Amino acid sequence: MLEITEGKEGQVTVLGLKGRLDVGSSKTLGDRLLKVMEAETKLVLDLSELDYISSSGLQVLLLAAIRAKDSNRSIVLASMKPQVKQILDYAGFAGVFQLTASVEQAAGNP
Amino acid sequence: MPSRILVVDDEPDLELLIRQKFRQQIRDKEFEFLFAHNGVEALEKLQEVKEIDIVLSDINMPEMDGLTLLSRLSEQGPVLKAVIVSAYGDMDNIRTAMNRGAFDFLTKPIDFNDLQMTLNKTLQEVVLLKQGLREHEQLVSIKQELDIASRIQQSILPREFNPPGGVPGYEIYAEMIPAKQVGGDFYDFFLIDADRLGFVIGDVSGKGVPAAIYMALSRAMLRATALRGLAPGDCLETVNSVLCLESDSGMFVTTCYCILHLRSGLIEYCTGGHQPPYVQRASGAAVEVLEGTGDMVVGMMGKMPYHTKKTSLKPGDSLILYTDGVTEAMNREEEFFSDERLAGLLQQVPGVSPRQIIEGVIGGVRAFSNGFAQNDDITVLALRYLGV
Repeated sequence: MLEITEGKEGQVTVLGLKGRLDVGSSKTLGDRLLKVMEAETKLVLDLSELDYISSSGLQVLLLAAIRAKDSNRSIVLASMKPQVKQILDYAGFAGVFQLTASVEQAAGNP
Repeated sequence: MPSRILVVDDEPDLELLIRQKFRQQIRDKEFEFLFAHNGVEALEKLQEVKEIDIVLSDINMPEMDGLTLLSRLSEQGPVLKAVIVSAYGDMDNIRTAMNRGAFDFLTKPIDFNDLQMTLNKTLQEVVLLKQGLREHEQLVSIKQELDIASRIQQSILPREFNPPGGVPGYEIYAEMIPAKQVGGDFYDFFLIDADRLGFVIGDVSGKGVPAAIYMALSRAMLRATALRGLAPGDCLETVNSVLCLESDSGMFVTTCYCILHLRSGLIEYCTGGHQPPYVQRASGAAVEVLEGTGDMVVGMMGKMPYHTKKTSLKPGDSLILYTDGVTEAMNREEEFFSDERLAGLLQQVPGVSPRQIIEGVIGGVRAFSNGFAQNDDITVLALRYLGV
């Protein structure tokens, strides 16, 4: 199960992900990202309550990153738990996404 | 092809009447009518002419009546539908006919508009049934093809673990257990030259046939590139750019590619989106995780840099590569097998052969999941350096 919440940190839209991002929930997130990114030049994903991310979750985030790059937008992943951080590190996300420790930090950087 | 309708009635006039009333449909090859005068003749016609769609039958006939005929029609296969014609108000016979599987009924004298509508309605049912039957057959054949695909896939992965070319210096063993009939995990090993052994593990995103095709593609490309003798980082960089050109399917493979230098025990490796291997020391020291190179999953984004890191093995040391199907195997309580359990298990069996390590890990995962169905492939490869 994945719960997606939407909020603002200053001017920046923040999507909060809670629960598990896996084969059962990745399409929902993918569709949501597609929609939100149409309107935003910068998007922060708050991962502080995300417990797990599977390879289909990685795929959705990577596809979003490719789209963002092609259209000069940016996605920042913020505040992930150690186990999620480890998966993202193994997957080489540091080379593609900006990863920050907090949502404030993520929203602050241009 | 016209729809075939067998009309069974002992009244000789009916044939002429039907040919006349439906002459347009007969000319347009919409309907083809066949005629029989009792149940016995009808069964003979059914034997003789294949693919009759509807039997339109009277009830009162000599030799074999319509109700007896009805009870014999089920032998003709599931698609054939019967429409019964009875005397007006003969509810008993109509009820019996419906109980014996008639699809619909008409009353005499026949209203030809009503007959036309009834035939059309019945034919729609026949078309649906035929379609259902075809789809069922297709599913059966897909399942047979999947079984074949599964065997092909298992045969792609090396099952012979004696050192290729008889070159000594190491032992290797691996196992891949697909969650479905065909999986997206793979392993491979090959001699690059007299001093270098390449070995690799990979995990394709997604499941089923698409993942299996991508797996076969990426494994072949990796082996072909690796045999050129490139360092692991350079090898994955090349494979990544080629796979990105090949497909924009959004699929990717996470992989850990290692090279063992047989004389020195030096290991070069690159982790492209994959968890780094464990090292089990012959000394019995705590099991270590190698530091990954932190590089991107392979096949997703072109022009990414990939790096090579180095470590070294002493004789008796083992390297264990695995896919996340191992650490994310679940039990009924939905707990993961986890890195901690895997490390703990490897700690308990120092200095054993790769085959024993693999059997230990897979046995451990099986005991943990205790029959709970897994939704990811489980793959482990172990290499023990012996020295030369």
